[in-house]
Amino acid sequence: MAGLPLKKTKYEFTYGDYYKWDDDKRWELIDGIAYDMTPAPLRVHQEIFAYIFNKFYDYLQDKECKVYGAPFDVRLPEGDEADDDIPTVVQPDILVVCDKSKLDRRGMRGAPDLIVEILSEHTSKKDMTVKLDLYERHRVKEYWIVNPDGKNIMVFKFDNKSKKYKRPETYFAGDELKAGIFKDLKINLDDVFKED
Amino acid sequence: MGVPLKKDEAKFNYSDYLKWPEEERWEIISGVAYDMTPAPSTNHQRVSRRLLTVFENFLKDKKCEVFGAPYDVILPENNETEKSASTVVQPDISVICDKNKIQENGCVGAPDLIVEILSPATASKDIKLKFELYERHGVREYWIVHPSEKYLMVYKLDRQTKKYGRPDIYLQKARVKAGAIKGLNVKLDDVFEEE
Repeated sequence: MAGLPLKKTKYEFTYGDYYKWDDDKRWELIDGIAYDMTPAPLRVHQEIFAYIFNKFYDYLQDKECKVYGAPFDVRLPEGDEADDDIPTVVQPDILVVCDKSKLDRRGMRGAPDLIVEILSEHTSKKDMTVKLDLYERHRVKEYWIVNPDGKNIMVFKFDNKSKKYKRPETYFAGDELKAGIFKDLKINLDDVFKED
Repeated sequence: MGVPLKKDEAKFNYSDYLKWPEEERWEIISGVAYDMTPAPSTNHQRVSRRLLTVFENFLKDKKCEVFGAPYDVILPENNETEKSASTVVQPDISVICDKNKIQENGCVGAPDLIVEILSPATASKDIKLKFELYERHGVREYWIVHPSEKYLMVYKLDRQTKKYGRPDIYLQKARVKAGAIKGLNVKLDDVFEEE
């Protein structure tokens, strides 16, 4: 196809670009802007990840929804554009998807039902600002922000009336978190943050 | 300390509070007394001092006034008088624009903006209990500062619903604009800088 001009969108980068990158780094694209995902998270991050992921995995065994852990590409299109033109592809720490038609070979296209991000020094700004807005805009029904330093979890639930997240519920040590979209899934905060 | 735990059981009001020993610090929320000792950490006070400085410099020639803890904010419910108020709190920082509320003994009624700087002992109270309290009393803007993680959550009262909605979260190099106090803005860098 030499000689054809590069396809231009209003975004700096798109999923089509991203998919071709072979620099051994992990990236996320949000509205066409690339965010470096290296280095790997801290050990405490992965301990918390394992605990929460397993809770979801066990809980969802006999259910319609599926859980995935990072790295897993979530493409969030603005409309009906082709995959290559999508300006946003993220790798949430944990995601739950209940609409299997969104899943495909490379990951998924469209919003998961629930996303968990575990903060680390490298990603906390993005998780609490850019991604909070992004997930709200794409109507992710529930967004959990896990704060390993503060040992708390903020749960943002989507409000269908205002099309925005409601004020977060904050859970601390000793609390039991109940997922909004799964009434009988309970997570004990003492277990999430237990030290070893 | 000298005062027994019975403070946990009974219902108290502002006139009881006035009789307690001066060297103790308490808050009463809906009649329940909360011990405010020990004093906050060095880092808590550093963040508090810096915010107060920014607020004071900005407000010098304006109609709003800022106070730092300990400063009594008395919040009577509809059926209560000042003396029988079942709630008196000491926010880390209070900005008050209605001079009528500023009395000799503290602030009677809701400040326009309140800042609470979290410490492990008070985090849950600040995020849950005081959140409901400040919302109910119409505090227009509530800032919750997380000093060790270095971020700030800003809740603004929705004009129509009179409730706090989704907060905006600020960290690192962000500049925070107060909605309730026009023109006031804070560079977070300056607040959280290590010494």
